[in-house]
Amino acid sequence: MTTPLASVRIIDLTQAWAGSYAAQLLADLGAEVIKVESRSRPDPWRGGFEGGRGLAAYPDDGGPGERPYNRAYLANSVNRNKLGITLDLGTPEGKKLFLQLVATADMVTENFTPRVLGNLGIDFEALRRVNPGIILLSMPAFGLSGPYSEYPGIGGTIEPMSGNAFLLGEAGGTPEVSGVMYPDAIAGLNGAAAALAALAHRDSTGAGVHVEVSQQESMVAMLGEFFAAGELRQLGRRGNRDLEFVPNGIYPCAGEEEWLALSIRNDGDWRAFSRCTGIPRFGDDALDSRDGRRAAEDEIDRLIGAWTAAQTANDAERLLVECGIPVARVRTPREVLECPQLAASGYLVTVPQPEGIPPAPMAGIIARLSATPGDVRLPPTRHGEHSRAVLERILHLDAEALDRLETAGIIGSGPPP
Amino acid sequence: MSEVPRSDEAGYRSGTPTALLAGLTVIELATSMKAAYCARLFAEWGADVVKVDLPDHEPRLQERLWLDRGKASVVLDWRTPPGRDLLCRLVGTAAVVIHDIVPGSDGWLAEFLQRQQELDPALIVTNISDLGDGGPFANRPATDLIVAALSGICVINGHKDSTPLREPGNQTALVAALAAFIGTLAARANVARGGQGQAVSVSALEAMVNVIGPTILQCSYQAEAPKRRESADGFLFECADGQVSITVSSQRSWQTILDLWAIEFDPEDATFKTEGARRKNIAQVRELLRPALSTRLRREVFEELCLVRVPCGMLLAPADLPADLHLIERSSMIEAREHDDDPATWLPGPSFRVAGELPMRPGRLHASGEDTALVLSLAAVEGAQQ
Repeated sequence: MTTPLASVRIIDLTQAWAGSYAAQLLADLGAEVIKVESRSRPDPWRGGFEGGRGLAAYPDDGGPGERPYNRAYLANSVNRNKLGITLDLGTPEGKKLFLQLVATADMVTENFTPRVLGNLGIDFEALRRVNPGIILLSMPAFGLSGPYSEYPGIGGTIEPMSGNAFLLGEAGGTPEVSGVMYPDAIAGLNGAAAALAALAHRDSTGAGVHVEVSQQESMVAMLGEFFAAGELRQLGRRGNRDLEFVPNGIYPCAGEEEWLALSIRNDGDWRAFSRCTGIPRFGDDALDSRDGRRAAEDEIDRLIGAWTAAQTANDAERLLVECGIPVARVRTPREVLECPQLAASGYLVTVPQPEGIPPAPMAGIIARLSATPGDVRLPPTRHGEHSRAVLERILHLDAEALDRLETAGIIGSGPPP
Repeated sequence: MSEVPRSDEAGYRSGTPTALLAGLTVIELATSMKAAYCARLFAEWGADVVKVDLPDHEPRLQERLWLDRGKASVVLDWRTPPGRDLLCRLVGTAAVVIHDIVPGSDGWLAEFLQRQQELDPALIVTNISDLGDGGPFANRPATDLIVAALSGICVINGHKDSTPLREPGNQTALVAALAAFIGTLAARANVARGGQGQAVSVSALEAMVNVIGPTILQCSYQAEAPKRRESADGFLFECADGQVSITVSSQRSWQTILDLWAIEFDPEDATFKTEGARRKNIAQVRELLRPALSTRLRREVFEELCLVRVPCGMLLAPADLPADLHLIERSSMIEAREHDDDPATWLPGPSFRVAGELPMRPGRLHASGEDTALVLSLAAVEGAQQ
C-alpha cells in the first residue's frame, strides 16, 4: 500500500521543534524527507556534540553515551521517517551539492531568521533558478517581514507574544507559559498545512510558491474564539472555565495528584450530574440554567471539589461516565501510553530508537487515510547517517568523491574531523 | 463587512494574494468548531466552501464572524427525504466533505457519505471526532477539557500548587481541525497523482497526543515523570511596566545578558553556572536580574535582548495585539464587522501566508441560508450535465 505523499521529496533544513515537527508530519504521510544538518553545528535539539548543552535530555539508561547527539529524546521525537545527511552550506561544494538536491526535489523547508538563506546564497530566487517548480516553506519566529522579523524566538518567548500566556493560568492568578514549548507544535502543524496547501497549488497550476509561517501569528490564530467573544479588555485568566459550559473544571480527588475533569454542556447534563452526585444544593431550580450556574460558579466549583475530594478519580469517572457526563480522570503523559482508547485504535507506534536505546512508543500518524495511510518506516535519524547513501543514490556520486567530501568535513557523521 | 485597509508599506507585492486552494469545492457539515475551523482554513485559501446546516442549528454570531466568513451558507434538513435528495446533489459537486458528526449519532448520514464515496471514487470524506470513531471511548461525550485531560497536556501545564490546566479556549478542537486539514490535503495530493479519494479520519485526542510527542517519548527515555513546574512565573520576569519571558539555553546567552547589563557576579558561583543550576535557583536568578529589569520597560528589554540574539518575549494581552507595531506592519489582525455600522471586532488573520504577499482575507459573512437557492440550483445544473 502506498502512502499519500510517496512521490514528494523534501529537503529539510529545519531545526529544533517547530520546523522538524512540520517535516516529520509530512514524512509520516510518506514524503521522502532529507534532513540536512551541518557537520559543525548539528540541530540544537541534539544537545551538541559533547552532550548536555541546552535542553537536550538523554535516556536514564546509558545517559549521553558515546554519541550524545543521537541520544537526545527531543531530537529523536521529531526526526523519524527522515534521511539524515550533512552538508556544509558555507562551502562552495556543500552549497553546490545542496542545490543539486533541490533540483530533484518538490520542497525545501527551513526555520531560520529571514536573512540566513540569503546569506547562504540559497534564497527562494536561487532555489527557483535550479528548480522553477520548487516550494519553499519558511517558518521564522516572527515571519519574514516587520520590525521583529530578525529577532530570535522559541516557544517560551512566542507564547507571551501571542496572548496565550496572558490567558493561561488560574483565575486571579499569574500568567503562565505552557509546560511544553506549545507554540512550536502549533507552528509545526501550520507548517505542514502551509506546505500541503502550496503543494495543492503547484499540482493545479504548476507554479512553485514560497509560503511562510510566523510562529507568533500561528499561535495568535489559536485564540480566535477569545477575540470573537469581544470585550478584549475584560479578558483574563479563567483557569479551565469555559466561555460556554458551566461548570467546566478540573477538581482534586482523593490521593496525590489525582484529578477529575468534567464539563457540563447544557441543562440536561446538569440535571444528570445533579442526580448522580446527589449534592443537595444542585437541586436548586436557580441552577437549572447556564446563567444561573454562571452566577454561582465559584460555589459550584467549591461543592464539586468537596465531592471529588471524597473519592478516587477512578470511582468518580466511572460513576459519571455511566450518567453520560463528559468526564475524564486526568491522565499523565505516562498513562497516555496505556490509554485503552489509543490501544484500541492502534495509534501509538513502537519505534526503534538509535544508538542501542530500546524501542519506544511514539505518537502515531496524525490523520488516518483509509486507502493510503501514512506509516512509520524509519527510526529517528542519526546525525548525517544517510549522507553517503543519499548522495550516491540521488546525485550518483561515487565512493571516491564521497571519501573526499568526508575527509574535507563537508559530509559525514558527528563532529568535524 | 469591512476590514482594515491593507498596508502596502511593508514591502508586500500589490494585488490579490494567491488563493492556493482555488477551484476546490468543499462541503462542510459541522456541529462544532472542529469541522467549522477546518473548513474555514479551506475557505481562507480560496476553496469554494459550502456550509450546510440543519434548520434548527443556532450558531452564535460572534463565533460565525471568526469561523464562517467566506463560506456559502445553505440550510437544508437532511433528516427529510427532500433534504436528503438536495444534500446528495450538493455532495455530488464536491471534491471534499468535512464533518464532525458524532459517531453513531446520524446513521443515515454515515451510510450516505460512504455510498457517495463508492459513487465518486475521487471524493474525500474527512471526519473529525473528539476521541475516535471506534474504541472504548468513542461513545463517551467529550469536550475540549475532556480531550485535553486525556491527552496528558493538563498535568504538565500550570505549577505545582495549581490545578492542572488546559490551553485557553477550545484548542484541542483547533489542533484536530489542523490535523484534518493536513490529512485532507495529503489525500488531495494522492488524487492529484492519479490515486483515488478516500476517508480521512482524525481524533482530537490522537492529534493532541501527537502535539506533545516529545513529552510522550520522554516517558520512555526517563523514569522521572514530566510534571508541572515549581512556580507559576517560571520564565516570566517583572520589568518596569509588565513582564517578559527570557529563555537562556546556552552559557553564551547567559554571559551576553550579564555583559549587556553590566551585572557583576562570581563566574564560579555554582548557583548560576549551568542551565540546570539556574533553573533550580530561579529565585536567585530573578534577584540578580531585578535591578536591571526594574528600570527598563518590557519593550526595551525585549529589543535589547533580541538584538543580541537572546530569545525574549513581551507578555502581551490579546487586547494589546491589534496595537502591536509588528502585527500592524504585517497586517496580521483583521477588523471585522457584520454590517458597516456595527462595532468592529478584531480577529486573528490567517495562520500562514504566501511570502511577500498580504495575508489572505476571507470573504464576507454570509447570512444563514443565504445561498441555499443559488447553490442548489447550480448543483442541479451540474448534476444534469453529468
